[in-house]
Amino acid sequence: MNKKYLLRGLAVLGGILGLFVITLGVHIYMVTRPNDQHHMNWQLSRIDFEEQPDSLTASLAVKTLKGIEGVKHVYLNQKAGTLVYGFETGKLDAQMVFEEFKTKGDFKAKPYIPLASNLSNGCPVIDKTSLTYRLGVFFQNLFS
Amino acid sequence: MKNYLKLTLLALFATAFAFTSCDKDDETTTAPAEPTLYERLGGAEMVDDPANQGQMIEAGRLALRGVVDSSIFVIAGDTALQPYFGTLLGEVGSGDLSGFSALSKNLTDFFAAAAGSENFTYSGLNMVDAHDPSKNSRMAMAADDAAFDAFIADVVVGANQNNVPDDILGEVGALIESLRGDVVQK
Repeated sequence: MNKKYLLRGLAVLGGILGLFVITLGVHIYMVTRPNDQHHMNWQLSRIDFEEQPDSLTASLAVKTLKGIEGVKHVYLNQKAGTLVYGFETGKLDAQMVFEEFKTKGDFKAKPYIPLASNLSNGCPVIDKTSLTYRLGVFFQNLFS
Repeated sequence: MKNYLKLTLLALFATAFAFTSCDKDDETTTAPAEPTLYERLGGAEMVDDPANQGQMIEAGRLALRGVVDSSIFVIAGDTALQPYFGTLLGEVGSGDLSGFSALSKNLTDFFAAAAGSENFTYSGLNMVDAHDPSKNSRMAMAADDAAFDAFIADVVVGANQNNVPDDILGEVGALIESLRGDVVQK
C-alpha cells in the first residue's frame, strides 16, 4: 500500500518536474531566440514649424518634446522645419502630444496630418494582406 | 572474436586517418572565409536588447536596426520623400501595426539578409516589383534618381547618429547603391 502511494507521489513529482523543465526550456527559448519585436507598438508623428526655426527655438522645441512623458525619440530637421517623434500607441496620441508641446512653449507650429491618399499608398513595403503584416498585428495585440 | 576486434581497430584507424587527411587538405587548399558585413557588425552573437529589457538580440541585427530606425526618423522628417513614405506618419489604432513598426522590421530584415545574416530572411516583394506602381499598389509613384539620392542621404544621417564607422558605412552605401537600378523606375 505504502509502495503504491510512494509510486504515485513520485509520478506526480516527476510530472511537476517535467512541466518545470518544459517551462524553463520555453522561457530560455523565448528570451534567447533571435527576436525583434521591441517597438511593435511605436507610432511616429510629426510637428511642422510654420517657418524654419532658429537654432535656439529648435533646441528648445527638441527639449520640450523630449520632456513629454511617453515620447521616446525625437529628430529635428531644422532646414525643413520638421520635428519627428515616436511614442507608444495606447498611452498617447499625436493630438495629446501636440497640445502639451504647445502648452509648454509658444511655438509657431502645427501637427502634420497626412492626406488620405498618402495613407493608401504611402509605403512600398507595407502590404496589409501579407503574412508578415498579419503576424505583426497578431503579436502586437497579444502583448498589448 | 579476435578477428572482429582486429577488423574494428583497423576500421577505426582508417577512419581517423581519412579525417586527418581531409583536415590537412582543407588547411592547405581552402582560404579562410572573408567575414560578412553582418559578422563585422557583431554577427549572430546574442546580446542584451537595450530597447527591450530581458530580451536578447543578435549583435549584427541590433546594429542594423539602430541605423534603420534612426534613418526612418530622418526620412519621416524629409519633405522631399513624403509622397513615398506618407504611411509612416499615419496614426493607427492600438489594434493596428504602425507604418514605423512595419517598415523597421521589413527594412531590418532586408539589410540583415543582404549583409549575410543566416537567421533572418527578407520575405517581401523583390526590389523591382516593390517599387513598380503597376505591381505594387502601395507604391505611390515611380521613384526617380533625386528621391533615391535623398533616401541615401537620409540613411547616411541615420548611420551617423549611430556612430557607424566610415568603412562599414561605405559598404552599406554600396549595398543600397547596388539597388538603384531596381528602385529607380522613372
